Amino acid sequence: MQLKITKIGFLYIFLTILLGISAINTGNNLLFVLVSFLLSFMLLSGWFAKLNLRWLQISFSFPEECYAQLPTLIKITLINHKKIIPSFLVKLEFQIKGSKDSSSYSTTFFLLEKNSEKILSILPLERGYNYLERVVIFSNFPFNFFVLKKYLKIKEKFLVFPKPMNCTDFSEEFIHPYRSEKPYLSGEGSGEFKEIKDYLPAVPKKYISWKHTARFEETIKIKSFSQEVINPVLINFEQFKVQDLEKKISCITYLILENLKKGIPTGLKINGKFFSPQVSHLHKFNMLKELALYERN
Amino acid sequence: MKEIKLKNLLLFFTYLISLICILLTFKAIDKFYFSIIIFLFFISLFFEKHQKFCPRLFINIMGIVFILIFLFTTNLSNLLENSLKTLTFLLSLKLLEDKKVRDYLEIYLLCFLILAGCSYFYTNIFFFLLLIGILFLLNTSLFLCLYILEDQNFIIPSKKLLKIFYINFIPFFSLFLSSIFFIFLPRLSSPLFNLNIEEREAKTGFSDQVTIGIFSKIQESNSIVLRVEMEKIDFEYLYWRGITLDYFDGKSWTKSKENTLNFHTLPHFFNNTKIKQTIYLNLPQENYLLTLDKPIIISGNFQYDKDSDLSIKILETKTYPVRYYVYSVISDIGEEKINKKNFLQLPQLRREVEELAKNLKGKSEEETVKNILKFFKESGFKYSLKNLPISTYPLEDFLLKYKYGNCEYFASAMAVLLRINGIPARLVAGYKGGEYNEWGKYYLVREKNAHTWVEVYLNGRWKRYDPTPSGIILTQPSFFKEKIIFVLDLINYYYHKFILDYNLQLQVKILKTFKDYFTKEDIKTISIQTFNKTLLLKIFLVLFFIVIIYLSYLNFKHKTFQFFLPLERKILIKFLKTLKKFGYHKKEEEGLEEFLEKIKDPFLREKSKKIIEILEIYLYKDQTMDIETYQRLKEFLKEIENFNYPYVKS
Amino acid sequence: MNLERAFKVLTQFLQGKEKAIELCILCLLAKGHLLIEDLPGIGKTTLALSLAKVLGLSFGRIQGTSDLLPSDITGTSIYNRSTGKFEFHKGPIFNHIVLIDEINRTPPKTQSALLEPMEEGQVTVDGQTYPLPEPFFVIATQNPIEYYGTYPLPEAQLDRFLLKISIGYPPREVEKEILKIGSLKEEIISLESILSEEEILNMQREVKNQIYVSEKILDYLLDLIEKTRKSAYLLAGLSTRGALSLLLAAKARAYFYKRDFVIPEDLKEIAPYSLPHRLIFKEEYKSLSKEIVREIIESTKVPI
Repeated sequence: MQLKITKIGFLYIFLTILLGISAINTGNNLLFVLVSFLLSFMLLSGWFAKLNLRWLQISFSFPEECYAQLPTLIKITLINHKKIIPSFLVKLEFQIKGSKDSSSYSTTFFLLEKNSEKILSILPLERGYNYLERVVIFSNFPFNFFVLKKYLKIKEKFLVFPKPMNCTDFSEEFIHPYRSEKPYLSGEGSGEFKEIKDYLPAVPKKYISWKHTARFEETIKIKSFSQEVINPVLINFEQFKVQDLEKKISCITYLILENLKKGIPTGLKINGKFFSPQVSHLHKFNMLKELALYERN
Repeated sequence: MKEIKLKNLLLFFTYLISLICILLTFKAIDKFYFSIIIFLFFISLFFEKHQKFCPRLFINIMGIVFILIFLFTTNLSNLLENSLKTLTFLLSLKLLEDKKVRDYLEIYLLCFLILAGCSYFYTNIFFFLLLIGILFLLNTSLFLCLYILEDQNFIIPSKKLLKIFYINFIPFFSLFLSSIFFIFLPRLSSPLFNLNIEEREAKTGFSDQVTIGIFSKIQESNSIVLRVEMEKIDFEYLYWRGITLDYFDGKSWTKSKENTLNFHTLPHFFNNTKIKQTIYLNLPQENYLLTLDKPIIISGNFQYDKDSDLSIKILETKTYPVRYYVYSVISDIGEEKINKKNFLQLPQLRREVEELAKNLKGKSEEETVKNILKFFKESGFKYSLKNLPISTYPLEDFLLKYKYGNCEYFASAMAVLLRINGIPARLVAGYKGGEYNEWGKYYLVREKNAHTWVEVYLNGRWKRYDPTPSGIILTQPSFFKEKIIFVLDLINYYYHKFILDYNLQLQVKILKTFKDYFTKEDIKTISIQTFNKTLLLKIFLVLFFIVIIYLSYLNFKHKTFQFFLPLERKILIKFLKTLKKFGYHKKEEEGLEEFLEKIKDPFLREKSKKIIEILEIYLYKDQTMDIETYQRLKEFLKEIENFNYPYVKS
Repeated sequence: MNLERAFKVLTQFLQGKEKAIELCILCLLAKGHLLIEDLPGIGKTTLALSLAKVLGLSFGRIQGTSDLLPSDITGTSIYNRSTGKFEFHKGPIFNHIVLIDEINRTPPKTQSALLEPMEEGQVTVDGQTYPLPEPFFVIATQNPIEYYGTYPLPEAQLDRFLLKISIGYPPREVEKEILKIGSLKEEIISLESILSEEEILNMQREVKNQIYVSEKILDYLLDLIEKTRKSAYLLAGLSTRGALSLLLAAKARAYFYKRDFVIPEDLKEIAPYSLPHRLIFKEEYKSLSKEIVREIIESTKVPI
């Protein structure tokens, strides 16, 4: 807890002293009443201010997926455990710290009855683990005579993926088509026309080639289409020829994201680890995590 | 949902506070200035409505000008008035501005200073109550400023507005705390710097002379002249002595200089029973102090003169109300030596009067007195306050012609008749009677109780005679309205006694009591002895109120009184209460079965499950529980209660 | 009671999935349809199949693909050479329990073809209307992560599903057991049925007509609805139809627990599965849908 008296607060103290002197001097009991009121007011506002910041619980929730240099949203929940009394004008300040730089954010909860949530936009600066630090709640409640600060011992970390960066110039060279035993098929019969086949039950009517059926008369003929084959892709981190490490990581991140968006299975070879090409969400996370933490631990 | 702009609320409070403060200065400042200030106030309201304001520069220049005028015109004698004037002016100027948070704070500061200044001019409890009210308003406004500081256009749903007023807990608790501060703040017996503050009390009917035949009507005023804290005594002894008059010029009685002698002639009164009074004199009586009958010992925080004729005069200017202590004797006191010649002075009178007087002469002086009193009683004299004869010879006309008048006529006539017969006599002006406030144990004397009577020197002592027919019938208050007035007066009386008259002596006394309390043990035993029936009754009443409050709390909590609840709800509340003892508390958002999940102890859980299963049928199938089921569930509950939970904390 | 026995047998086969089985049965009892959102390989098919077996109902399966046509589901008219006429061949939808895998892979047109059978219990093909067997119960699955080339179900379609659940990974011990024993597919196929069609239809009727709902419960439900409508996180609150289906599911739960009246817990337990897919969340809170629903439920006073 730290207390800082504001200008108004000093003025208030000055006023109290002044009135106190005149009360003592004149012996006017109404002045004494005013002075004692001012004094008790001072005392109680301190106590109420302290109460205002007590029994508060704060929790942060970070997004699962966020990228460096791209704004993201975090959710801050402030819970008031006081039974009846609300908290007023609670201000919150915290720092998000990467490996080098840090940036601070602040937000205000105006009236906190039971609990309150704030969605705050933040900009994580660097990839890798970012730390939430220096969480301070403070308030100038009740009368802006002073500001009461409370430092909280909250430390949390969250993972920030590298910043995606489009580097179309190099992409083709370093992407290796990946051969596996099973080709990845994008779905049946959506490719090009292949051949005419005999009718099989449960084939939709639209595939029936009425022209051929008419020609062969006895059997119903259907059109068959080839399957579209998608080639999986493997990215080799070490062979990726970009000098600047950060840029390299950014480019690869972009490639992974773009490919997966198109449904192209993508794999990554990095740091002696091998992620075989897949399209799953978890797979994406694993690869991005590896990239985010590259040379950071 | 309705929403309220906090700024509007703040503006409303600010103008309200300012208006009250401005109105309060009415008593203190020049009426000319006052009307200008009121005018400016309405202009600022107009500005506020049209959202157009005075330029700041203009206001600042005006402010500086006023402060300069204040500095040049002020001396020690008009300091308070001038500073109040300036402060109020600055306030009304400030209101003309487009207000930012800073300006609000300045306005509140000005208001506060004005209030402090005004406290010199008001002694009534209503000012005190108003003061507290304003402090609450100031508190709320200051808090609202906090939000305005954050956001000029802060909007709050009207439902949540009540939460904002939670802030008033601070001044509320401050009231209690400040009473402690009030008692223990350091005090001085005399001021360090003396500022002369003028008296501003209205003139009262009491004067240092008694004149007859000038006014045809006497106003009956209900203003309170004095409160006397004392025990109740017989009504006929209630003569409050003010001034003794001995010189008559045919129209007015005045006090002659010769009689201002020392007190030393007073005989032995030490054997007489003395009545102690604590007197709060509200209105100045030409600097004379009022006392019960014959004052013997007087003490007060001022310098005074005691005359041999028992009247007491303050020698310094005082702010009223004045408090002093008097010991009086109402019985006869011993012989007194006087210069008879001084009390036999007479103006030129008509012969008929002298003849009348001679006719009334008896064999002894006592008989003469009796004859005169009889004369007033039997010759058709009437008491009246209206249509009093206006004449150049009021006394003669009263005695011979009109035969009606007020106490002054009767007393003057009697004194004159006595003097003609060679018996020394004098007039005493003061008050008679008073209403006794049983709760506060004090007499309340109003202006309409003003009275004049005669003192006759018989056998070496002054004896009081009251020739006035008992026109002033003072009954105990019986009407409800008067009772309310009585209670209000009591509050005002305590306000004067405990707040306005609190001083160094009282402070020392309280501190001493505290010290005694903590050093002596036997005080407690005394308090047990003084335990009596009324105290028991009081305690009973307090307990009764506590029960009422508790019941309403229960009512609040469970929506309805427990007695009238249906059986299933009754047993449910009992059940939840029992489990609370074991540390299981059901939240409002929790269902019964969810609650059951929380219970860890197998025995408790099993029993609770049984109860809950039955309860649910009644609660959610809308069935009314029969008494057998209720009894059965109660038995289950008893089992739970008797179960000795191994982890229960003692 | 047979329902209980059926539940027991199912839990034996599908260890660690009690909750999912329960919700599945509730859905069936309430005549609703079920949407399972989960990763592949968690046991959705096993669940549907064993449910069908144990309940003695027929089972059909449709795999959602991007080229799936409405006729693949409803069935198609096929030319009969001997009669020289087109004959209607019933599609997989003509079963008691129908599993539609990865429904969000099918194009919207096909998705909407499901509307009619799910809502009306009938199928119209080439102008002919064919009634579906009763009880009719659709279990659809969808992948939680939006892949390229998926068609997320529109709100109207989502609204047809009584509950949306996810099975989740089994607990560690259970998973170990599963690994030890291996797949139980064959055993499931050889399961004997415990319930009959008739019994299930009976139960559905009882759920609908014989479960008592107190005023208090209705008020509680209304409180919940009001909260969703006032919530700052939502664009639109619960519709009346949504509330109705929530109540129906709660009734089914009461029946499942052998009560003939609804208690607040019924609503509380069902709401997290019945509400999120019916509410429209503001963009920034989409990922928090479950938490928001939970918050709404936990902040509503329970009537007693």
